Amino acid sequence: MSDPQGQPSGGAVIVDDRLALFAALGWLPREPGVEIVTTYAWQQRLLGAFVAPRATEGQLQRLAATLGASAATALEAGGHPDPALLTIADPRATAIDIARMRVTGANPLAAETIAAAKQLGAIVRFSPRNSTGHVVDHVLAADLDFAIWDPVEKS
Amino acid sequence: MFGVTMHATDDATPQGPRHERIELRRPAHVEHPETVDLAAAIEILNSSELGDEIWAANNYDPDLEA
Repeated sequence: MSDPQGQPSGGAVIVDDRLALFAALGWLPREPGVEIVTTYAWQQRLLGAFVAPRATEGQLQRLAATLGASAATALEAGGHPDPALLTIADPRATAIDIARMRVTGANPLAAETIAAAKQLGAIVRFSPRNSTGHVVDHVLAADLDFAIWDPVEKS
Repeated sequence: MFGVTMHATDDATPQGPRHERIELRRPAHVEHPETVDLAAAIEILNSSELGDEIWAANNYDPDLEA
């Protein structure tokens, strides 16, 4: 799925909640033939940040604000993303694979990410914030094409 | 396929995944352009701050903290 420089050669890229927010709001570059995909579990994590009763502003809310989006806009963009910007992998399509991984210790984020990547032949890219921990450990163990995307401002 | 917008970097370490840069592109429409602060957005993205995404105690599952 990637060339020697680690660049996608087409197909799909599975992203985490933060990159999904960038994608849903239109900030990730779009390339012909490359689909930006997140999983239902990542989508739920993203949406939860905007619908939960809370006294303070969370990271994802601040992230949306710095991208010029209100919480309502971010919620709609993440909840009903424009398919040209972001799609949600249907966990029902890989339910058995997800179940197999869950019973061996993978959490929903890890299991859905791995199952979707394998089903779609996709590479996996997370934001720096999610560069370590349970999900990354499982993704690396699954021998998927994985890297961290460090967003930079277009010069 | 992401062409010039994405670059493999050489800062991968044996202890962690490799990193690639991806250039953000301003969308054609931004709801509140006056609030756009990409530097702040990138800082949030890189933040290791924990806790305030734990939006409600009954939703908190430490296993979901990737």
